[in-house]
Amino acid sequence: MLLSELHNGETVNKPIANPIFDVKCDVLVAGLGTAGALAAIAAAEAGAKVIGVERLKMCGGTATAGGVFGYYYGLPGGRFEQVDATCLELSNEHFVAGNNNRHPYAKSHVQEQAIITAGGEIMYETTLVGIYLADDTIRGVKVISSGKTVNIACKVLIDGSGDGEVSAAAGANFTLGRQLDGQPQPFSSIRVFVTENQHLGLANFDAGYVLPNDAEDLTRGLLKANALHRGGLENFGDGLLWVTLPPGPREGRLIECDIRLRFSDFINGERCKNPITYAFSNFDSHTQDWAFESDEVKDWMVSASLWGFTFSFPLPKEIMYVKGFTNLLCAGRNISIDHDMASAVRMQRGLQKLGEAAGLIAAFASHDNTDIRNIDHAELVAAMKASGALNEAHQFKGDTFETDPAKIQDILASDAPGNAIWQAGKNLDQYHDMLIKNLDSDDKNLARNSALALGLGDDKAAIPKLIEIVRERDQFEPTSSRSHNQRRILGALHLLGGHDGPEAIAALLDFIRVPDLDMQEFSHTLIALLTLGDRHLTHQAEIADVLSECLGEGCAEYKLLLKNSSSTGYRAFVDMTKFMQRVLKERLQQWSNL
Amino acid sequence: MKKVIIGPTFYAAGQALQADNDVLVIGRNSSIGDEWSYSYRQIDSTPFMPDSEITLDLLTELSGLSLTSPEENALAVSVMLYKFLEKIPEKFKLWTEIELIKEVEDGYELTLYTVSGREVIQCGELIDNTPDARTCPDWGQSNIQAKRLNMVVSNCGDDSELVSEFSELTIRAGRTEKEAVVEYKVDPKAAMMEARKQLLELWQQRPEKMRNWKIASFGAEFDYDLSCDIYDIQPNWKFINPLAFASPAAAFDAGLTGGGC
Repeated sequence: MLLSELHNGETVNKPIANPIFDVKCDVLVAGLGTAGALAAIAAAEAGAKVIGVERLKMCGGTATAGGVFGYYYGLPGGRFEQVDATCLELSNEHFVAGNNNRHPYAKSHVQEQAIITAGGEIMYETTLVGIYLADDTIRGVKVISSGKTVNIACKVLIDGSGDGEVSAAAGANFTLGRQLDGQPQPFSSIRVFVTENQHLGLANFDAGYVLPNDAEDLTRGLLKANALHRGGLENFGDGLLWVTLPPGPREGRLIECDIRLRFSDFINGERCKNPITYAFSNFDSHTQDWAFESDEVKDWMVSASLWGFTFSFPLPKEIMYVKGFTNLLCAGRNISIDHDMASAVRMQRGLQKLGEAAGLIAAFASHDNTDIRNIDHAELVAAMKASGALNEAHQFKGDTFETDPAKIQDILASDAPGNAIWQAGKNLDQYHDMLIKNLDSDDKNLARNSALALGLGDDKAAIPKLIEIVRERDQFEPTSSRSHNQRRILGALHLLGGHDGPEAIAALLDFIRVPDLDMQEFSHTLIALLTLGDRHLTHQAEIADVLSECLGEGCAEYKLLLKNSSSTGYRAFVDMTKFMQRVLKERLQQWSNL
Repeated sequence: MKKVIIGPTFYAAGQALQADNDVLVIGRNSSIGDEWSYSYRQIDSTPFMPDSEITLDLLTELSGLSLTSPEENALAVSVMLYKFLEKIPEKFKLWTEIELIKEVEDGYELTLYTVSGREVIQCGELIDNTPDARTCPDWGQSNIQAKRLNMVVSNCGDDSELVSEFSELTIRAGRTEKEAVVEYKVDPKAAMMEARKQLLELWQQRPEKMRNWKIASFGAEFDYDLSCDIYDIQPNWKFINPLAFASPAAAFDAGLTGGGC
């Protein structure tokens, strides 16, 4: 047998003689957070002997100790609804709630009682530090519980740690953050307080970037985030109850499982055929420096301003089956999705449903002493349908794209053109002629939004109009989404980076030398030029010279205001100049090596 | 050689801010000062004159805010404290579990478990600043005179009365007229989940005239009265009671000035 552990970020395996297990269970849930608590409830109620280990002293994770007691999107149905109903009754009678809120401590209590009533056991103040492995099967775990080492044997392990540290300790592969710099979305800090009218209030804001798997960076980020609560303290300080007890990353390790859901699959219309539940949200990315995200995300968020577009997305069970292991499931925001999808598939309702599914799968597999992959899919689907966690009607939830050409024409001419830009741009075979004709229209919105659509469809005919948008520095801000709409010039800058042609390079080189560019304009131009430079070796020297001058000594300072941070009274900024200098340096080095 | 303080308390924060102090503060939680802030421990309201300029600045700034009782608001004190602490992140290691402490030639070797995994560090001096003496739990247990789970309750109606005691609960004033703190004495060995359940069940039985006093929050930490404030666990490894001060500000000031408890 092997003992697998994380040592300074690396997985280390060492042979170990048969360990003595202090306790045995069927299903061990490591992390009783949003998904883990429901996994423990579902597994115990399905007849498995369950032990849940949790680092904190309460169940529920982000929804309870983390203070985020309201739901953002997601769809109803599932075992969590019973928890919520009991919690609401308790909250209304005995807790400061108001507005029918589910009090975090009431929710934790209801979850605890559900686990215990079903015969499960909870170990709080317990941290998993090692995993006992025989080939590709987990035999048990090593935990530190209230200062003592305990070995627990299990048949199935569920990684309910939001940041995937359990799967990482087992040696699972994972990805972290975006492609350019490995940075996950900004992390948030939350405070909970009693309002003047005796309701429970919460405020959350983005506090900066943190690598949740880096101990030093996490401490730095936590101290900085906690300091930001000083802003407006006199307004809420009399009623302040707690500041988020667990750290608040929105995204951590994303574990590699049998299937990984990618944003590119979503926009290409690929959907799994055998879902166990549906996620429902908009792409609620907390990123603000969009230039450094993937091209697909920029197409969606910047060129089409579709931040607020909601959609339902089927989730297969295989996004929880950790690759390389017969009995390891991940449940929570560590599931197998890519960085782009992580902004849409982390909502509490959906994660609770996935937790329920993970618990059921684990209970079925432990009962039959089999690989999690051998469980009866039909039995799982029946159980998920019975609780309401799987409802096929949910596949039709969300916004839709307009398809009628006449209506698309009207939308392109409007102040909210995003839906039509996307639909027409991604289906050029149907709308190409109409868009080309629109380029000559006197209606500025119609002509320029049509250029964005053609740009999305990689049609070179868009280039002159996109250059015109840049040269005129067109600051038109659409109303396509309820929030986070991106100015037309930013969409044009991004799209020009994706089009070959020296005229685009020349226009962008002119533009980046404009002295008063804001952070968004500058960063999009920078990335567009670097992207063009990757493809046009003959222009690399010229691009390198201009960018080095623009980001050289004494250059302008570019700062990024983090989401909601102004609501703290202090506005939290990230210094982007140094970051962009680093991005440039690394890319120029790559060009030089070539 | 480096001093390690286990327990990111107000006292430890003061120690970390001493400019010439080569100290690393390690904690399981993600915040500083939980022994006061999240135990909802009663704070001595007697005016306190700090020895340190930093504490004086902090209290002056705090009293400039229009809080009802600023110095008795441990959470407000801790929030103000971070403006100093965010400048010295290298002196803290939060969200960190202690796996093992081993005596070595020049002091102690600590095996830690963080989000990066296992990490081994060494120190010449070790201070256990956790109320229940986490590094020496059996002694820590014997040092407990009284252990309480406190909770904050709020008056959610205008006509609700509040008695000072009922059943096994003691009730004292909170930070504002609308707030009170309920104290529930538990067995020194009591675990949080069971204590919380018992306290909830007791509160569900509160007199009818108190129906509108509702639970705002349970303490996330227990509140303690301890017998011994300083105890030598081993050579260069001692326990210091982080609650042996009249207030969080006094604890912080003592840490800053090197004062005892």
